[in-house]
Amino acid sequence: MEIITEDLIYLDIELVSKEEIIDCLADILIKQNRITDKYQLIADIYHREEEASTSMGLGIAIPHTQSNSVLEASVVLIRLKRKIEWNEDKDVQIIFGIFVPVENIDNQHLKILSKLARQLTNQGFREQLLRVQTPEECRRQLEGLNQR
Amino acid sequence: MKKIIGVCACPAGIAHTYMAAENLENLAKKRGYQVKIETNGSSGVENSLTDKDIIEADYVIIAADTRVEMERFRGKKLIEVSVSDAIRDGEKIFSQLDADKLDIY
Repeated sequence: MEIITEDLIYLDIELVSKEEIIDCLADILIKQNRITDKYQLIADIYHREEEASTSMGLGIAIPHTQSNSVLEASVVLIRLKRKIEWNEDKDVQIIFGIFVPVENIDNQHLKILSKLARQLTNQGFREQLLRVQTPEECRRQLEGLNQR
Repeated sequence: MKKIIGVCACPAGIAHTYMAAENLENLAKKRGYQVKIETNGSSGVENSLTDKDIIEADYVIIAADTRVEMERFRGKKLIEVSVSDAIRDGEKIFSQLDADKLDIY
């Protein structure tokens, strides 16, 4: 199964808080049969958020967890219509949710995710994500992620 | 050319470890340093620092929110920061390096 598909990309949606977004991430993953338990996943995401904010001042938050409820390594991309507050940052517009199973993890998947994380520090890459018009275009932008 | 080595590590080891490493590598190259950053992430230790790397290094940057094997850096000029600092305030770390203001570990 691919890590990111068009069904996992939502562009220009209206969510106003971190809490709404985390709930929405879990809904998307349930709908795509990538997790078993919405509420366990949400609890695990918050557990990670409590250790340290996953927004790092680049306009992007990366809520993530390695959770028993995750069936398949998945990336969910949400681009918001309006910037929101995410802990101390006030300008978060892109959310990359990264979800990794606890067992049977494919090391290749972890490598793909580390490559994505590295790309996020590149301003040009972030600007392209803000410009894409459709989930299809966005997926193509992230294509490297699905290459094995 | 001066050489920087470093270690990045965070609790989940899925995202921020690698963002910090990428940022430090890019800033170092931009400033003309030779650079090698070890990542301690969920897929294990990558780009491991060798004894030779450590001997050759002028500066060591530790950007970690978890425990890192530190004994190997005894006697080196070293700076310890959080992963968040390495991503948000990389420039600040390098201004301390550029001024050669690091304490010896």
